[in-house]
Amino acid sequence: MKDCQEITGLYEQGKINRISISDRIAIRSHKMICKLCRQYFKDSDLMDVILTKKYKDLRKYTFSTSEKTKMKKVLENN
Amino acid sequence: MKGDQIDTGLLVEEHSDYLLSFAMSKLRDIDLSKDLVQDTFLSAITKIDTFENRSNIRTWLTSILNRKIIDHWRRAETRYTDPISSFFNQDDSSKHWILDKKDNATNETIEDEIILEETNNDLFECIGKLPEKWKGVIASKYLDEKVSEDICKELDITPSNLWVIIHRAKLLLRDCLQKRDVR
Repeated sequence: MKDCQEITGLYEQGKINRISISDRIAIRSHKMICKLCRQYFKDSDLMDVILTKKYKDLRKYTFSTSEKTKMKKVLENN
Repeated sequence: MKGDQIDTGLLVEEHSDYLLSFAMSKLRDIDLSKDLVQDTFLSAITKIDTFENRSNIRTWLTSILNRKIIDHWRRAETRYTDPISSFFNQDDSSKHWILDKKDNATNETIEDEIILEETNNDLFECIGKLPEKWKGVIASKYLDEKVSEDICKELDITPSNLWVIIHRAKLLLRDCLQKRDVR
């Protein structure tokens, strides 16, 4: 039997790589009996959504073409 | 890589917007962020000889920027601002400091916005407490939206290292956010 630390770790691994059938079954069966891990799975998904959104919001801040040109000129003269 | 070999134009083109988003995640002040990004490029080209090719140039630039942000915070701590002068010196007196940020905002609807903004600050503050390498992983994954292979290559970690870092980072972030009671 895998413990919560391993199961939640496997869950993150599963988001990045393909994990084996037996690992997926382990996550599923653990999920049925463990409230804390169920909460972790929810929180983990929520954090993915929030982090993606918050960082996406930041990407609206950009330099204008003229600002970039100005910056390049300053750098060339240094 | 020597200074005369580096294409400064390309450097600005490829990394300035990323660095600006990074600075904004910490400073939330657009003019200051732009200034610090420009400073970062200036420092970078004068120190280009110290750049080791084995690390990614973006990671290197980000670390210089990070240094500048910390320096700014140190200076800001001791700076005296006169609240009265700013009271009379508003750029656009017809604009409300928060209500005008959102169209058709009222005191009621703005509350959600404030809560969202507070979550923002808490979130980035909590991310700020993570170890440097983990912060790099988070920024590459969510700000850059890089695929895992690229993150691993760039930050010189193994794929299993990557998910272990993400797992631990999420646990710490959750813990940090929970303590601030914003969930």
